[in-house]
Amino acid sequence: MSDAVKKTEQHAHKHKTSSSRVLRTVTYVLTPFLILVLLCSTAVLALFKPFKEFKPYLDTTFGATPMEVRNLRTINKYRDDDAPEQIKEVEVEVNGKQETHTIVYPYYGDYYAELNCEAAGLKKIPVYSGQSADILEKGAGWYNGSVFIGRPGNVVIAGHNHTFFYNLPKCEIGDVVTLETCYCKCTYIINERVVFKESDYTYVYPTDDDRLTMYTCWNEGRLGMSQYRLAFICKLQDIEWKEVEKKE
Amino acid sequence: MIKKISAFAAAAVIAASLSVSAFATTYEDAVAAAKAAGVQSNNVQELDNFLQVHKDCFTSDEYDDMIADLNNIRDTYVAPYCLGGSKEKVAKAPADLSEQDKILIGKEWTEDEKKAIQNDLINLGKKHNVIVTITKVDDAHFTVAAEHKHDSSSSNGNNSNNSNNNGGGTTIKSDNPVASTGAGETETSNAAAAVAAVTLAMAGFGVFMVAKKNRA
Repeated sequence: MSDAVKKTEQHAHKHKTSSSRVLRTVTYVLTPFLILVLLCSTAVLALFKPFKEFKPYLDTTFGATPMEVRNLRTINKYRDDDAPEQIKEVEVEVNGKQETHTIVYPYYGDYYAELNCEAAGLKKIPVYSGQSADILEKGAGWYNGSVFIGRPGNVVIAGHNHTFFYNLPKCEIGDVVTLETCYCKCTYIINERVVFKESDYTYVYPTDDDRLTMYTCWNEGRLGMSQYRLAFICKLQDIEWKEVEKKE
Repeated sequence: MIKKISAFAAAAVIAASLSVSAFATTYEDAVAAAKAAGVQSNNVQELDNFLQVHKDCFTSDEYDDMIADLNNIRDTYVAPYCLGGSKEKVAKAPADLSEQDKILIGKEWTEDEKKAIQNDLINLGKKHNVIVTITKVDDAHFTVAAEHKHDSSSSNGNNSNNSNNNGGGTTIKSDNPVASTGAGETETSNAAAAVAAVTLAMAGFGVFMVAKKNRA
């Protein structure tokens, strides 16, 4: 064998040895890293479901404080700051007599009312106009496919079961519920408790009688998402109209 | 004699104006037209709420125009599926449809028909200075937002509140009739799960490749 051939073989062997060393190093470094990533990803996926179930409890513990909620009341991304107040006079029938009262109509996302049901521990629940996810983070939401508070028909209010309507399941038939806006205060008595599927709109459609429908997710007493809703239907007892001052 | 004539003329003018006001179209008529057109009752309520707030912003002629448009929607997209229609699905008149019937008809609409209804609603809004936004259309429901700009220079500037303000706001934004009121499913947690799943797949592929190379 000539010297030149020997040299070439030696060079090739050297090159092969060094490249396999690099490969081995890469393998030694990469394998534990990949296994670590594999384990972490598996852990994240395995914890995903328990986290979803646990999250409402975390939110309840570390969620917005009442003070923060109060500050949120004035922020409304759904309207301009200089949008005019929507104040109108309406004809209302009270004990068979026609009376004229003033309604301050909310914009979508406006703070609208305060809901109380002392017996069930629902105290000073802020109610906003609308039911989008961001609104339901701030308080309960009035469904704008239902009548304005104080108008005849079905007033529908929804809230999260882990925050503002956490105590809703504690309501009982006969409990008094008050709903107070800047233009009226309505008093209701709970007279029906129903559980319905989210695809069933029967309880949120307009009605001929004057009622309040409050609902939240119903997960057999546990928190979290559910396709069922627990609703309390309340009969209107009294409306107290307030004097409304127009802001200049 | 002149006095008598002028008294007669005044009486005639008053009578004429009374008859005009008696037949003036109001927002209640527009709401009734929506009901008669077979619009779902919660959407009718949304329209009612919107017009209650902005009733003074529209003239009688504009209400007539809205009613004509609603009647057109009824005749074009609802009536064909009702009693006596060419594609009859429900043996009732559009005004007598139950909520379930309305959903059934909504499911029959083709994508083109849904698109045409959307365009019709948006154009109707444009005509009357109302920004109509349709964010979602599913089998039987339209998610609609209606914003009225309080512009004092608009043709219908008889709104007592708009003299100094041009700001607007969304009065009605159609939400899901039954809201999601449970907690847990958030975008962040879903995204984290998706990232974890992709990483898992990539890491698995990496391990497989390294093992294959080692064997070679």
